[in-house]
Amino acid sequence: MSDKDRRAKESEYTYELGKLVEKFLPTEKERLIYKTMEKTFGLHPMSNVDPLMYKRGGYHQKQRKEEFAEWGKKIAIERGIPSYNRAVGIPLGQRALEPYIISGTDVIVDYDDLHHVNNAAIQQMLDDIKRTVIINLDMTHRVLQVRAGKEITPETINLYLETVQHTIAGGAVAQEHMAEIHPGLTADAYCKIITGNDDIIDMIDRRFVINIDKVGFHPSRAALLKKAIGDTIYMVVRAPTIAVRMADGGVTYRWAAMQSSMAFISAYRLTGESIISDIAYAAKSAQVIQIGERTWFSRARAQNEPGGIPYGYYADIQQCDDTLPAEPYFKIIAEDLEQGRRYMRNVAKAGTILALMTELIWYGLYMSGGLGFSTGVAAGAYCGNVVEDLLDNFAEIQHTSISRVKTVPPRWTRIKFITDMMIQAAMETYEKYPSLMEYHWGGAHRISLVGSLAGSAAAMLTGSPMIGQMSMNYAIGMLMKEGWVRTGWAGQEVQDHLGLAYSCAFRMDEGGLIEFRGPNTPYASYTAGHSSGAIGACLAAQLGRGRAWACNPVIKVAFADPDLKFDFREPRLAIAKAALREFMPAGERDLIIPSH
Amino acid sequence: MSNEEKSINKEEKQTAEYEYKELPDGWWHELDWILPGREKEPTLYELFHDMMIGSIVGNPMSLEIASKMVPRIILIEIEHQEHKTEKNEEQKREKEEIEYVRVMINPTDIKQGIPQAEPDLIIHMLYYDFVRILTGEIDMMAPIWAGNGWILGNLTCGLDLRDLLAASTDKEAQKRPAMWPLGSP
Amino acid sequence: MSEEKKKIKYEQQFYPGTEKVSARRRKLMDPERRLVKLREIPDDDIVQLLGHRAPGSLYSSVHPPLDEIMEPYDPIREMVKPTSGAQAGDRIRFVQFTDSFWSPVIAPWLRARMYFNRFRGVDTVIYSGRQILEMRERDLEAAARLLVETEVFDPARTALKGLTVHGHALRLDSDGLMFDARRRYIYDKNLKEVVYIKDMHAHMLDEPIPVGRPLTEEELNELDVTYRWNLTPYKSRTEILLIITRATHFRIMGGFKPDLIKGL
Repeated sequence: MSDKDRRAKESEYTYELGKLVEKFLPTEKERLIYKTMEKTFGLHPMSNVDPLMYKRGGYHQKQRKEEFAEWGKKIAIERGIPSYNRAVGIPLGQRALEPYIISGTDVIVDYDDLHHVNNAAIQQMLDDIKRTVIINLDMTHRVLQVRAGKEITPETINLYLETVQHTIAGGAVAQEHMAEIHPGLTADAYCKIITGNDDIIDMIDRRFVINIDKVGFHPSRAALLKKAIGDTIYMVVRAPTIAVRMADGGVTYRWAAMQSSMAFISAYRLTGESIISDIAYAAKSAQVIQIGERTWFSRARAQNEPGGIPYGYYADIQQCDDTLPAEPYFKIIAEDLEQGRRYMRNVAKAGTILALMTELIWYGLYMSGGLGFSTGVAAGAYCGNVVEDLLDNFAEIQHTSISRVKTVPPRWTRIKFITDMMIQAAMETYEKYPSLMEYHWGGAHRISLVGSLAGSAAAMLTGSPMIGQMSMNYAIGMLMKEGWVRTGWAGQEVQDHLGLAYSCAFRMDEGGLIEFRGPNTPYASYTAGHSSGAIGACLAAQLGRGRAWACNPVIKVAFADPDLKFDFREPRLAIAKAALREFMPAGERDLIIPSH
Repeated sequence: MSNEEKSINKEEKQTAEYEYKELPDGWWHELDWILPGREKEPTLYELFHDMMIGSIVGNPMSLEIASKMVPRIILIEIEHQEHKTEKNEEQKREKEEIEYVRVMINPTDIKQGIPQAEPDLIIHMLYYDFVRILTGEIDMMAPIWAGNGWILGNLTCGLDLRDLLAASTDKEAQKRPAMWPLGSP
Repeated sequence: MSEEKKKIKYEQQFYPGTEKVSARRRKLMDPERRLVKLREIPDDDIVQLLGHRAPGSLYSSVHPPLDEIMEPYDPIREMVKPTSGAQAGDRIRFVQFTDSFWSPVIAPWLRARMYFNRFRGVDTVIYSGRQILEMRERDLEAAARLLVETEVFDPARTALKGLTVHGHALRLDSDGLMFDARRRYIYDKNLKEVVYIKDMHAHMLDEPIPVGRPLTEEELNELDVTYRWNLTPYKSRTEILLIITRATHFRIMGGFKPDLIKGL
């Protein structure tokens, strides 16, 4: 044998990685995913065999499904037409119908409890967004002062605000013989003021104010918000939930304009003159902030519906980051790992609202009509402690690689390596935990999660949502696709290939500023599973820059209102309560229907 | 300057804002572990080779870390640039535009050129940056964040290399993240 | 002085990477490479599994044979030779496979790439839990034979599922088979083979159809087309990462302004 043949080749130095699992099992057992999957499935979470498959008793393994079957029978008998009927379709429950642990809590719920039609908190979250509109009062005040010669004083403003609480709930003020609404049906309707001027706040009745300093924002955030909003006066109008349930989101700004105009008429003793049209115009068009725009023709939705809400607004609606200091994230993570983890955990919490509104409500309800598939896609964001575990670990790796440098530039070529590291680690986690793979049983679940992780982490380091968008698209359409040669449903990564090309595009049919894109953007309507990632990029970029809002400071403050029915700061708790049937929504009709 | 003062200065330099700079003429003579006979500025291969023999192999901490690592192949691509101190044409080395060095960890081995097997990790960097990393003056990630280099591939391997270099320059290795402990694949 | 770029003849490379998973992917995608036949399944059994027609019956037609149709001149029609199914006027039918996540011998996107390279007249949609292939019926049967008899089918972890496809991401059952809510196949402990008791559409078969023994874990490790943390770690695949880095870079820059990537 020649010398050349005897020389060892590089490729001969191989090792059995699988055997290293045993060595590092104690480390794996410390992971949140390990503990949660063990609790969820009750078996060794790293085994890829389910010995009880087909032997779990079908749908009887779930109390909720048994309840559905009984109700189906009852309805069929009562009305003579069959309803829910387990005798048709495939026999459910041959696989484990595992319990869902709401992340960050000890609450265990059935999967069916997270369906948007079964969960009152999810419905209220949607309703609270749809029924909100924000009117700026400056133009109206100016019209009153200049054209009607009226004085605007703290007393008149307070009288107006007291009057508008009455009109917004359906009370009459100006005309005899008006049919009014039972206040019990519209108890959730009210108006509040937002302003950045402390003097104005001092002069207004505090019941009618969302006081930026007192609703729980970190002082550094409160200062930034007040400075951005300035001396102007915004009025946040909450139309009654029952109104948006009867009509749609498009009724909100009309309800607000009508009732606020009536309140102006009453409080300032106006008559039916042309000034009224200016006041109504100001409330309906000139100085109104809608939460969502009308969607394009083939989606055909009115204002304030989920499809028309821009990503940046979604990022501002969630309130999970309110208590974080307004410091750039990369500084935080370079110096203080625990504080950095707090940032990541808040992003994980915010993911609840983002995933629910886009995947479950927009795609799962508006676009797909209530099918129970996207429940799981959204649940991946807030159940099982999966996102928390991964983001916690990402915080550590960021701390390790940033701690000795001073800046993180918003350049894709420089951030790409850390996206690779984090996403490959997430993919390896799926490979190591067959139970997690079973938990996220659809490609859509995994790409939604992986995309959100990539987008959020990259945007948070750089402060650029565009980098976040690139990271999300790269992670799904390139990294995940080539690793597993499997993505989501029906080429779900089409949106990523387009997204990469459109990431810097400002033409309206291609994109625009990331904060102003939305489910309404044409290429975003081809496939689902990406909106929560794009919104996550906007939110994370805001944290990365150390700002207090992503797109609109007024929206940010408007949803910090503690009187809202849904808790936008602790969404998971609200959803858990609703799953346990302990959440009382608004807009119920009990007062006008027989008891049942 | 005492050893204590030297290490404090190194610490300060490392946390300062990274800036690319060329090292002065004859800088390699200042290194403890450089082998005799290096009259001209060493190539990265020569430098790594000397460091391996003079610093890593004799350092018990480095050896302990290296022994825990799984076998890895690292390809280092170094961009050499003509620098201002080379006034004499004869002094200018015949440097390739890109110098390739293949490093294997566990077993430890260095070779010039591109590896036969696919590398686990590729590090592409400027010559002086990598020299400063080897001497412990700057952190491995600093030039990458600054855009003067890139890194691609198995970053767990990158963490391993970083720990190895930290040990060889008598620095405490940074705590490894829980998902990527030392020795994990 | 820069060298002139040498012109080289274009040769399809199919897939980057030097290790065995990349080699497998190249093999499956390269139409010149023969796939290893692992089992023999009678024609009639394949027809029964597909469930579109009874074995021995004629193919249904949706139009007369092409030779009998008088159509205006079309240069594209002259260039493209029809498949035998198209020539005869067969209807388009489908075969649908599900590939388990656990050491699959083929996976959805690779299926699509393979189908486009090896078959003609295909219509395919790629999901995560299933991959549908639609072709003219007789062409489909020929393709299905290749897809079921060769190394791209593992009886335990690849399944013919026309509907109710849930199961690719689930753990395996106690016999090592992929989950199937319709229970189309079982592991026959006497035969030591996987046996289909229902066809692709979950209709009971008159006689069960054995499709061969499940591949062992060692065999699957050799044939796995996905990168696994414990076998061929994805994070060490620098060649693939270089390619996708380049593709991403060009897509972003070119999407913004094509001039930026001219000549690169």
